[in-house]
Amino acid sequence: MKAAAAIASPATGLPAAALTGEGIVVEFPIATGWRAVVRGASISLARGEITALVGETGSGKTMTALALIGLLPPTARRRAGRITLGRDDISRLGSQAMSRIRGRRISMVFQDPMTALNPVLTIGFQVEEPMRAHLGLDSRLAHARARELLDQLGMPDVDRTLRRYPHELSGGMRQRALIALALACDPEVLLADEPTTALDVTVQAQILELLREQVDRRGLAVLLVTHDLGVAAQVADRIEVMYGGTIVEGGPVEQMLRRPNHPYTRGLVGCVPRVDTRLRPLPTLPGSVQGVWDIAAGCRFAPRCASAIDICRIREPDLRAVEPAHESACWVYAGPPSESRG
Amino acid sequence: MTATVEVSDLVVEYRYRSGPLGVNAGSVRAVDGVSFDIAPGRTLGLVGESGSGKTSVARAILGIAPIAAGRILLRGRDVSTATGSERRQIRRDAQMVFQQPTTSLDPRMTIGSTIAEPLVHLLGMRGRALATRVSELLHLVGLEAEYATRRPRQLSGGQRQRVAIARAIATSPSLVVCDEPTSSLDVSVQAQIINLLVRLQSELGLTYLFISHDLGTIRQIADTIAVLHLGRIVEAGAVDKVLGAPADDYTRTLLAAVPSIDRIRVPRAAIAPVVSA
Repeated sequence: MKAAAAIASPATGLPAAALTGEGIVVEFPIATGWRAVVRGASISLARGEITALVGETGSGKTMTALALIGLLPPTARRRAGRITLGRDDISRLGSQAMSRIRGRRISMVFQDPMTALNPVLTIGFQVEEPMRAHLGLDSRLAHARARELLDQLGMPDVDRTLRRYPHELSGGMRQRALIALALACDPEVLLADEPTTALDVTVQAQILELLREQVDRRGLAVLLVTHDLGVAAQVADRIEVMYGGTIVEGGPVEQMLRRPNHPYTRGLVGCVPRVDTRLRPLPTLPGSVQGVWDIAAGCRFAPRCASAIDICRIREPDLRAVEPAHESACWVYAGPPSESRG
Repeated sequence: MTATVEVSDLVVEYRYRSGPLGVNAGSVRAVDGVSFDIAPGRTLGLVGESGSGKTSVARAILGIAPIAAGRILLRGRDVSTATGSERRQIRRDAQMVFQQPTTSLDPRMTIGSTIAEPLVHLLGMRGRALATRVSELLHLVGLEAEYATRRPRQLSGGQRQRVAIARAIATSPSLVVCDEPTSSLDVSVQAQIINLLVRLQSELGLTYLFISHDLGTIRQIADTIAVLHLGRIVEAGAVDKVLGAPADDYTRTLLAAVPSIDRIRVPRAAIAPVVSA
């Protein structure tokens, strides 16, 4: 595991992954102590790739993303884990040092651009600000780059848009502005948390297309947090599925959707309503995620799993390779525990 | 058989005032000449993006949006001209399930009193009969009777939506308007709620107007579909026909934009490079 970040690509001498998080634990205070909402998640983002982090409400996907960029809410704490950006270990950096990296080498786009953008500043000011702060560009240069960026992102009437305030733009335009802001300093890594969930489908399609174009053009590494498997299918290279605070399966998008291994992934893929066929009744996943945090031992999905056997309720499975670059944590489908382990 | 709902040439307009002392007054036409009907026990899927007017159509049917022109008949009764007792009858006969169960349920009320409210106010039920009906409704939506004493915050999103559905069917309406009832729910719960709505329809003979921007969900539940764009219906018909072979450009755009897990992106590296001779 530790070696992952050190493997360098022979051609460039750069590490193969733009960002790796290993064994990330995020905890929140509860009456009786601390509760871990992310329980040792590891994720690796490759250059020029979009990795979709998929999961339902409360699976820990947003907290994982926030931990990677050092933006956890003040009550939360990250207890363990190593985060490597390029060659640099950023897991021990203080808030000052992190803010020098954030926006320059690693950026984030949020779900709701209306709350992420400052309502009293113009779009131009906000897109130019990180370039002045991080790159020391003067306003003329920053302005020219902001124009170029918004133009690349398909913003109509760029000059006028730069002088406008967030409330004067539509949802899709605001999300473009937010992406421009995030890409202003040409970062290595972009984290996007449900960036298109608040948008209409036709606008969503445009934004996803733009995101893909930027990834291909800049070799950007993207973590796309989403609950929508359709969105993942459309733009991602890899899918990581999160449940109960850990990653239960991860692999190339096609394998994950056509040959899911973990019963939770199978369930999720099966219950998505399709446009081309009507199923009566629709396949469902029984139960809900409620109570997942009260499970003390074993696989967190076991209470909802039709394939669960005795061991599932006693020991939590690790991720095991089931196909090349495809791992799953399931005693039943990914292999029984070996005696030498754990 | 007469249709449960008949909408003809419906126009919904909202008046606004802006500027100092409201000097700029005018009106916005949200629905511009919409006609459709829904046969008893059937589901019409109303599809469109934000601003298409789909919610305004729903609100007009329930008598809570300004009808500027056109006519809406609910089991033969004219919604736009209804007064007094007729209006009460319409309230009993047409109910709504909203998108956000978190905001559509009163956090201070128990689940039991939430479901009892329409029974008390619209049917005048009380005492033993009321309690029996409430537990019967909970059972219908797949919740145990003890949920009656709980409050919304003790329930999951899917359970809350079940409560909202129980409240909507409490007065035995003929029409239930479902406004994006599954879009705030997790994928695994969405399918449960769709199955519940389908089961209730066949058991109780309900007619649904199902509003959604999710064509996959519409495909599962609707018999007919109407695609709204800028306040007008651009295409309507049987759901398999419209989604299988759309005739209108906008419907095609919409269909192409819907992310599908069956349309997996072909990675760049997998596309064989063109070798020039």
